[in-house]
Amino acid sequence: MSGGLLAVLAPHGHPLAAPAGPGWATWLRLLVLAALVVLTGAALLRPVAAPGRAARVVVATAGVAVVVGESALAVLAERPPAPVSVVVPLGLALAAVVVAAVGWRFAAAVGVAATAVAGAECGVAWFGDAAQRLVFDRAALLTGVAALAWFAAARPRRALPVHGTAVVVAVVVLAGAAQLTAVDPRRPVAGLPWLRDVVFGETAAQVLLAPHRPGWNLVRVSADGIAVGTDPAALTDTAPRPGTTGRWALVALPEGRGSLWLRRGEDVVSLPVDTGSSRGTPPSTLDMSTADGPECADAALGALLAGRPTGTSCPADDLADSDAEALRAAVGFLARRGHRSATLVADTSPRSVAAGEVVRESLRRNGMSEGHGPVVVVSGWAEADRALRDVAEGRLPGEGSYLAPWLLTAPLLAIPAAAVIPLRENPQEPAALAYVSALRDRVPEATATPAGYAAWRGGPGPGPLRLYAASVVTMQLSTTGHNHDGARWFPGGALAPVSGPLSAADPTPGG
Amino acid sequence: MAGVLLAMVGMLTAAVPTGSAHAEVTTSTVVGSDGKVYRATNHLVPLPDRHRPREWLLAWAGDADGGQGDDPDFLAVIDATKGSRSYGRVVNTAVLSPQVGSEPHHMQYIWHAGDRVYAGAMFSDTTFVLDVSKLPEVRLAGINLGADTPCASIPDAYWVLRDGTAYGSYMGGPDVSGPCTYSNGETRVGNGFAGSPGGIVRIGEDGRTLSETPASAEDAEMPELCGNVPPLPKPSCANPHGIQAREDLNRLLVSDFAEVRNYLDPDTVQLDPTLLRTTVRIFDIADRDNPKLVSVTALPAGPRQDEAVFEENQMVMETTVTNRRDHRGAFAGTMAGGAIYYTPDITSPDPQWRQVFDNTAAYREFDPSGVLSGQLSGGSWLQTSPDDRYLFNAVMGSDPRLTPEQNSGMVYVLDIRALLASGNDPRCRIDSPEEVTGGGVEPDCPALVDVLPIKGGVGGPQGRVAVGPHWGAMDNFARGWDGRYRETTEIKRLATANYFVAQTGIDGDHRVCVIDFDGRRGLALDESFRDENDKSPCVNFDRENWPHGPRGGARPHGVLFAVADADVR
Repeated sequence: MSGGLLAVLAPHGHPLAAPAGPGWATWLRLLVLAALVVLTGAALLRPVAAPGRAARVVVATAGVAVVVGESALAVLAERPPAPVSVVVPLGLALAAVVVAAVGWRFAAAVGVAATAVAGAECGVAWFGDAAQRLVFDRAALLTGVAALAWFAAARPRRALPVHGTAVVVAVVVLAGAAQLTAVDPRRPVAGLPWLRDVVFGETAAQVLLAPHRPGWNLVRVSADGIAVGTDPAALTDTAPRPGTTGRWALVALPEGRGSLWLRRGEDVVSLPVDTGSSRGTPPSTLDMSTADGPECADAALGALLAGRPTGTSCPADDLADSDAEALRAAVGFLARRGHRSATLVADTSPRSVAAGEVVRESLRRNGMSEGHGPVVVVSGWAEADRALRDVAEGRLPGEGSYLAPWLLTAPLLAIPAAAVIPLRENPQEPAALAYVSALRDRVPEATATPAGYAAWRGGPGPGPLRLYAASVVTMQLSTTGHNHDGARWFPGGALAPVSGPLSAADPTPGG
Repeated sequence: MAGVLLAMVGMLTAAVPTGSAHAEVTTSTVVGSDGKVYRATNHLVPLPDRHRPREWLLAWAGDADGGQGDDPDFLAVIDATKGSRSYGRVVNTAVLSPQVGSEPHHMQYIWHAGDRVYAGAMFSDTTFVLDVSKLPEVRLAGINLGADTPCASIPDAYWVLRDGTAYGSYMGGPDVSGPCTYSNGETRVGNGFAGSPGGIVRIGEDGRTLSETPASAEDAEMPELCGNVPPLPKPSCANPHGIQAREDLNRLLVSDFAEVRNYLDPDTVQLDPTLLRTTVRIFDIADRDNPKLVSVTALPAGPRQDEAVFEENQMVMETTVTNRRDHRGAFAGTMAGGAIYYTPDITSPDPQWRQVFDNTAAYREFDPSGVLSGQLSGGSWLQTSPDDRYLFNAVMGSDPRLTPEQNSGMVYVLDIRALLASGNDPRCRIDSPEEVTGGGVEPDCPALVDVLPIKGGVGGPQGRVAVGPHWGAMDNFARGWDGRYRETTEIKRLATANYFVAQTGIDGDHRVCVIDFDGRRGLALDESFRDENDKSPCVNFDRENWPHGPRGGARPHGVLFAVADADVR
């Protein structure tokens, strides 16, 4: 969208309307609304009307259309429904179409049973945590739709309880659909990080808020000069964080609904937040206030892009077994190259402390010592950024740097510190690039990160460990050229496997 | 190399219309040393007169618009048969997979009948070896991966020897920092991937590494000139880019470009002149698997008195040898400096290089305003004609201080007969401001034959810097009375590609052009070599559809003329 149009839309700062999606999305919304009118209208008129077979088939088919359309709209709203919340209602609705055509005396009973299931799902969504809410609110709506389809499929009889149930379900489904889709399909959901597009005058920016729970939250903005906070009179300036892009600020959010304020120059924007309450949902275990907060926010973003609930811990809270194995393999590689010692760079996060122990143990097992030589970096992004700059400038002498797998981020790799990194898959091959593409489609300014990738794919990648060398290859003689680099993990850089499969199990003591 | 298994494992043919509705799809595969299967998948467009002998223009290209991250690198095969109904048509795209975003770069400088094509992928540290004997079909004959060249990285260009093997110039240092022992037993301490020192790799026709040789001297090289980041215990300028050989003289020349990982000071983010290179290296290749470094010579700065990074000798992108047995000289061209240098005898242990031309003089032919000059002009492809009469130079027009509207690329040709005839005692030397703008005054100085401005689009598409060609190739084939082709030393046609490396901020308009050349009439854009879609001269790689499907724009870097075995005598 052009800056000029943005300015017309929001001359004084404005949240940009949710993207309308592709052109057919509007037609899909109209179709869903029409089908919903047919479905709920039939239920409401059920006590006074007696539709024939053809009409019953049409109404039940409208139920199928609503289930499919709602699911597609949820995907467009970046809230892809869990498969279970679609498959069961869809199966029920399709069966209702068949029953409407051939007739079955127990159809109304199935509708009542489906209503009971939908009610149970409503209960889970209401009392459950954010992850359960994410799954079950839409499941309840779609199951309610399926129940209406079964009521429509049933031959009309004078059964007041059935009529009454159908009418209640129709009203609840209408209200639920309005809430989920029509009123604000992108409403904030407690515990789910959110992304918003905003404009300040002619400057567009993206805003990420994570974890969207009471307490410390991280806000990432894609433009310079933005201050954020909950009190428009006391906003905090955003600032760069090492190892990542964009500008960041910590914001303490209270329980419940409120606003996040953003100011750039004279332009002020407020965005709704809803952090939920500690009464219904356990407090967040994600600590965004540490130096590793941006990595944690990236993991939440990766989960969001994949339609998964946010994890219950930050990447820096624990050392994953796969990462420990990678570090052992890297030390084994150093030993086989004949190095007798290595320099360890760590910090105080639980992951880094554990990783430091793994590296020290591996050094001992390989007859090596900690002190000088190749720089093994197991810290978070912030300390890694400092250490790699020291290596590049010769302030931290060593024969290159060996990075922990979680440090595979373009801003760190761009530091000319001769970095190599043990990985289980090539970041320039299709699997990883699918994540990069999904990320760039939604957050063009963001950089790919292992934390985001793991959250996006739902676990660590497969494959044998290999060492990859990484380096920027950019001779920026030009200051005006544009870089259309598309979906690449390391834009402007080279990333190539430089070893065969590594094993930590067979170290060569003493090199 | 121990542990390396490269095997041709299959030739599959399938009529799967994945791209163009009518393209025939064929696939060849090899297994790399990492155990993975690598593929070249042809998408052959039917030709109405397919059995007619044809000449082909190969263009090695990568994705231009990012796409969804899966747009492949490919070798485009373009009909370069003048007079053909499909002249200028892309008749095949050989997609190389599974890597993507590898930054396809150079192939060899000239293709001789029977040679394989060596195609470098800079960012993935990979060299593909391609069998082009059955053009327009291309088959993957071998692959050389990053782990196959542990002491060198970032392949740039190739020189194919008479035995079919090739030397590759690898600009970057060893894969991992520290000491690296080369195949000749020598050890150098490097500062890692894309750092220094680079190496010379000899690659077999099956893609295997035959030898890996340090490009650097054993001792420190000119510490005042040769910066490295991180610093090396023995500073080195060895970052070879251009590479050409004279097998009859047992000499291999390489020109050092820059420490590609880092042209900018990491703290100040300013250009660091000690990371740009001014040196040319000459090796004795009597033992083809063990090139011995004979000389490392820093080119002298010229008379322009520029800032250090704009001096005439900065960034020696290319070097080109003379060809006739009675000639022993060679040329070198600079990218940031925009100048051409010459040495009369590459067999000398102490070669004397002198500036013999400045790009400024060529610009004056069509830019009397004087805005355009050699400084940062982007001197690129530099090639002597096989008969040693002419020297061709492609210039990108990449001065970032100028607007795209002001910048202009060009191809120019120099008559070098007098200079070569001067033997070991040339007098030409550019040493005055007048010679910068007007060419050398000494009688043996190269004479400017013609200049063809090449200015892509209106100031280059999307405001990209560099509006002219980075690379080129000579058409070294002529058609005989029987319709078949034979190699010739008389060059009548060139091809150019308008693209450098987008990640550097220097892009191009992604067009591949053909230029007619005649020693008397000069250079003329071949307007009959037209894009099949937009119908304008030159093949436009910023197109939506390819034989392999709707993959959008691509960036062509290396270009090469070639002919199928059956069509060459």
